Amino acid sequence: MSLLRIGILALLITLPLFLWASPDDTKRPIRFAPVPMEGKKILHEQFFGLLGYLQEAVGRPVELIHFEDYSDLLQAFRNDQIELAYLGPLPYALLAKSDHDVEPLACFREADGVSSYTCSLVAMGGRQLDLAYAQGLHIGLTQPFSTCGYLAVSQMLAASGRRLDDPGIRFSYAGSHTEAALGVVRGEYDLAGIKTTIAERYRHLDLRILTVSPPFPGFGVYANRRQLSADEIERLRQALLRLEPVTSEADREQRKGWGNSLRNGAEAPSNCDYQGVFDAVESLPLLLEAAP
Amino acid sequence: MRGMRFSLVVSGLVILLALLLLANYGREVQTRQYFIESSQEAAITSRLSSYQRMLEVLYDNLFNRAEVTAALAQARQADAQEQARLRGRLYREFYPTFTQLQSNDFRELQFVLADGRSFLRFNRPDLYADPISLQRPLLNRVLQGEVHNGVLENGRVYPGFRFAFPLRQQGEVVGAVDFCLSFKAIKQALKTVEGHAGSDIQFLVRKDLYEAVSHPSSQALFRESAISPDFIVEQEEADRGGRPDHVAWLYELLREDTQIPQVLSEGRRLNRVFCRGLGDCYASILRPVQDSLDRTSAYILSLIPMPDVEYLRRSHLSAFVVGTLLILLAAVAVRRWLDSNRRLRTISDHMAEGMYVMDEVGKIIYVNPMACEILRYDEEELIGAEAHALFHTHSERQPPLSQFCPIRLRSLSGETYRSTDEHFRRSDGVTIRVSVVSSPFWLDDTLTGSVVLFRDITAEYEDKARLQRSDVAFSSLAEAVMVTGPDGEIQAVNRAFTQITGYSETEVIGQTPRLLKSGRHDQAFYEQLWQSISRDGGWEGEVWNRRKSGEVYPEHLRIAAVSRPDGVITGYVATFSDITEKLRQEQVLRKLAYHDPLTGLHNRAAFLEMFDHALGHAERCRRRLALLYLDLDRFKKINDTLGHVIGDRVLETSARRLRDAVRSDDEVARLGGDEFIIMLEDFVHEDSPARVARKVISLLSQPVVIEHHTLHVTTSIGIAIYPDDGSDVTQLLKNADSAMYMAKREGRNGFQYFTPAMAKREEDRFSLEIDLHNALLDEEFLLHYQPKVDLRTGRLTGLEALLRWQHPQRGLLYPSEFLAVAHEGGVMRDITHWVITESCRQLQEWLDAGLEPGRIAINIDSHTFNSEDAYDQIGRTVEVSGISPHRVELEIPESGLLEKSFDDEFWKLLVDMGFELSIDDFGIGESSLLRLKHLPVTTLKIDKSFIRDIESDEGDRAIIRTVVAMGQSLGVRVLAEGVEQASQLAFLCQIGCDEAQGHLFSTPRPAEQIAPLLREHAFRKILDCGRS
Repeated sequence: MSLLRIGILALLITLPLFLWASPDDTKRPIRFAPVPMEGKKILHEQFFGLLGYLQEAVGRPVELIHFEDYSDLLQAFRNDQIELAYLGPLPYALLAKSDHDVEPLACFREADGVSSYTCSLVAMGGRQLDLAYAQGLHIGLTQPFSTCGYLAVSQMLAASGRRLDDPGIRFSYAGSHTEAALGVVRGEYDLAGIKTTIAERYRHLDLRILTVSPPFPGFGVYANRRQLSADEIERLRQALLRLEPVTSEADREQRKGWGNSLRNGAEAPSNCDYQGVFDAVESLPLLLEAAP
Repeated sequence: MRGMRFSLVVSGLVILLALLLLANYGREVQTRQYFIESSQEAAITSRLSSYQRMLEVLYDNLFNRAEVTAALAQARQADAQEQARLRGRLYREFYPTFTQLQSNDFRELQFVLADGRSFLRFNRPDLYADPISLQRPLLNRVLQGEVHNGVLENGRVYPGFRFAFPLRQQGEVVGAVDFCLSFKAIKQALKTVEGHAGSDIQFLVRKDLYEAVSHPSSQALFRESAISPDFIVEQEEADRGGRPDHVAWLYELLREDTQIPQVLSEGRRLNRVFCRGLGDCYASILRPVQDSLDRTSAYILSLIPMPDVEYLRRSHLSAFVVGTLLILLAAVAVRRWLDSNRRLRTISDHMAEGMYVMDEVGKIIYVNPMACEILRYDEEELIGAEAHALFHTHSERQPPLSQFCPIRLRSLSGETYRSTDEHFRRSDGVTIRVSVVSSPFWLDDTLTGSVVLFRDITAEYEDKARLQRSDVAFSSLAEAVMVTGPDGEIQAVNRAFTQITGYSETEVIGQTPRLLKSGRHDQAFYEQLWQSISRDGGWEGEVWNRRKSGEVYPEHLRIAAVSRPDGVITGYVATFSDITEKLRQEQVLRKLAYHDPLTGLHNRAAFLEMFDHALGHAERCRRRLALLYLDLDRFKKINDTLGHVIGDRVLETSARRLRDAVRSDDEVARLGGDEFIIMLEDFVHEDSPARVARKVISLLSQPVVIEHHTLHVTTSIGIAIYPDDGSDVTQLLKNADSAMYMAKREGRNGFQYFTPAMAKREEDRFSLEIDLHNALLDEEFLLHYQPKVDLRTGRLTGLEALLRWQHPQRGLLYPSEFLAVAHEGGVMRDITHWVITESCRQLQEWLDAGLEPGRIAINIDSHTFNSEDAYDQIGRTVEVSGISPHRVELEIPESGLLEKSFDDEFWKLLVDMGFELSIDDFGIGESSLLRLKHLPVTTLKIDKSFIRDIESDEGDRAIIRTVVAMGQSLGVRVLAEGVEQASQLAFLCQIGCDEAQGHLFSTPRPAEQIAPLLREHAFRKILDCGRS
């Protein structure tokens, strides 16, 4: 028996094993994890529509993976436990710093049509505060890796000549923008650093914006190149870039269940300026420990 | 058929039991289902009531306060900023209450303004100002002053059990506080029902109603129910991991249940019990929940483990199994009882014995068919009849009275009566002998009569008697009898068997006939024997068996197979007799038949048989075979002279020497008399027969000393070779015989191989012998006469009758040409008789013619006569002819004197009768002077051999002178034969010889030529011439 025949025979025998061993990637769901800016249910409500849209575009099921902590999400990305992430600029910058296979697909526009957003420092409406001099301030931050958290609040306090680690200031992590905002309403915090759009959402609870941060690139969707093929990445990218602000009834119907931050269309990453964030990350000191 | 009916009844009972148990099980399960439903109802009601009471307290103490109602009243009128402030204040104030409510399973707390708009949702503060009362009829009614609690209603986010209270300011409703109890609270309440802790509960919300009210983003919190697409369940519930396997199984059942969609659409409740196998039973309860508009807006699906149903199932199943077993056991018992009855009846009906049952007074209450058949009564005739009166006769002599009937009395006394000497009378009057067993008939420990079994043994009795006789005959048979079963096992033997074999009956019963096997017969013999038995039903023959003593003996054996009418062999009967003695006798007879008693050699018959066998063998093997035919030379002489005893001893000795002369496997037989035969088989050398012949001749020629006689026996041997000299026994013997005779003729004491010339000669001899017999009948013999002349007177003293045979083909023959054949052919006596008769007739004729022929001399062969018939054969013949014996001279050759048959008495008798006696051919024989002295001889005839050379041979002349002188001394005349010349005559005359005979006087002439000689007296002239 010739070596060729032996080889063919061995191939025929082992081929089913290879076929069985290799997973069918086209059937495996794409795991999509948004940063936990809000509660799980709200996140679910907000992203349910987008997930269906992306699923249809890529031809693979897309499922929502929820993380309570930003850092867990980033670590999951690095560990290839998720294929897509919805991140703010800071988490992206932190992730990109340690993982070169993260690829931005698009950054979402805000309601005003620009692909950037701002963070705000909020307080209760009836309360008079002078940021430059107020003492004993208790600030509610979202999460350590949240853009509107340590990064934005530090910048906004700096504008008033204050630092987060000033003796008259203490801070706590509320866990999300909503909790940080409602924590101020409930009187748990004197101030909270949250996304300006969220601050606007809770104005009807007498929440007042004290100061607004410089703009940050909009939240975006980032792909894991190790887990997704180039074709899939491209199809996802194109799908996201096709999103335009809701102008028609058809758009409205399509994005009825989408979150507000996802309804305004998206920009190509090249249109989103991440440099400032990258620079800030480089200059940021070690994260401060939150007050107990 | 009966069995099938019975089976149907039993099956029916089992099915009935199953149905009863099933019905009971159904009722029990139903009761439990009802109980579950009632418990759930009570639990829900109780839980809602307790929540209501709790909320009422909260309402009274926290919510329906002036500050709150004022805030709501103010908010209704305030601008957005003021509303925000009021909303923020309420949120901050009641957030702790909300968290407390959440911990009590409330998921919503909402303030609604009097205009129906939502003012603040604690669970979703971002949603506000929507006209909620439009979708919430309950709120609408509450805002109108009513209080509604514990009613299911959908909301913007969640459906739930709603509790809403109007908030009044100074009697005016300024808003409402709305609570929503989560399904979780109801589930917990349902799980608190005893035994329902492990239940699985799910709220199914009607999809269309929920979607009509809810915020679109909230709908993502729900997903389609597993059992109906028209109902949704909360995502969290649906996604709840670790659902037990049985729950998935139940959902699967419900999804496949085609009744479910209809039940759901009609708002009906459904209560089902599902079981897996014998365990794992669950109640599946779909309980409709009405909303504030009395619509079935949701269902509570409860999957509740029902261990008691499991127990019920097991207990009912156990009951079914036990019940079925009991039914089956009962059925078996009943069946057995029925079978037993039927079997008894069947047995009774098919019994070969008659049976009847009598009551205590002897009346028959039951009788079986065989009893009717034996007694030849119908059943109706027997039932009710008194047995004793009807057919008991007990004995053929005098039947006892009924009260003494032993058949009844003994059994009624509790004993069993048995007898083989009872007699019953049949309906046709014939009395039969019966065997009876009468037993007590007990019923419930009460003796109620008798059961009588009887059997007609008339024929059996007679058979038994006959068998007894047969048994005696069997035992007394002279022949041994052995009876075996079909497998050869010995079952019976008789006395003769024991006598013959030495084995007693007990020693052989159970054994097989192989016990007697001698080992002399091979397997093939027995196979042939059994084949014969199988084929013909028997075998007969002689076998060798072995006695107990070990002695092997012959027996004549007959084996007969005993077969049933259908041909199946049931055994074998072997009869045999010891034939030892018979065989011994046969051997003796055989020995006698095949052996010569004198010599111990095989006799002619045995030889012929063996020779025939040897011929066949030689023919098959293409071998040669030699026959040596022996005849002792002159044995007759020994026998005649020394007697048979000596002769027999000679034969014994000769036989022994013959036996020694040949190889052990060569055959030597005595054919008879002094004739022996030797058969040589497988000889290698061409001259082997000759070597044997020479050896035989050498051995036999050794002197034989018997008593004081020393005898010299020689033999002549003829040899014939197979296949050269013949191909069959007869021919070879004949040729060997011919060769033997040739050897004898060649001088005896020698052997001759057979040659074809011998055959020719023998054929001629045989032909001549036949012609001789015919010659007598055809009168072909004739006599020539030669004159005897008295040398003193020249007168004719007599005529010697000389036999001639006028052969039709061969012409005139002289005696030398046929006398030997005549001797051997046994016609010599007849010829002699003819010669005497003819001679006497001729003599008488001459005498009657006036002629004087003198005495007629007739030659008598010494072997022809003996003393016993001398008178009959010679004297009476002459007497009958009318001739005086004095005119007849009997000439016997000198050699004949030695023959015993010619003893002195013979001759004396003839001489006394008047015959004269002459010794013919005197001088060449072996007679002694002593013998001459004792014989009544009247003439000595000197043999012509002495006369022929008389002129030249002084010896002959001396002998002649001596004989003449001796004759003169003894007073006996002397006659010279063969005188042909005058010189011879002269010498004879000179020495005083009495008579002469020869051609000088006359050749032998026919009778008609003699008469002239008689008239002429011519011999005197011749005599004169001779003298001169």
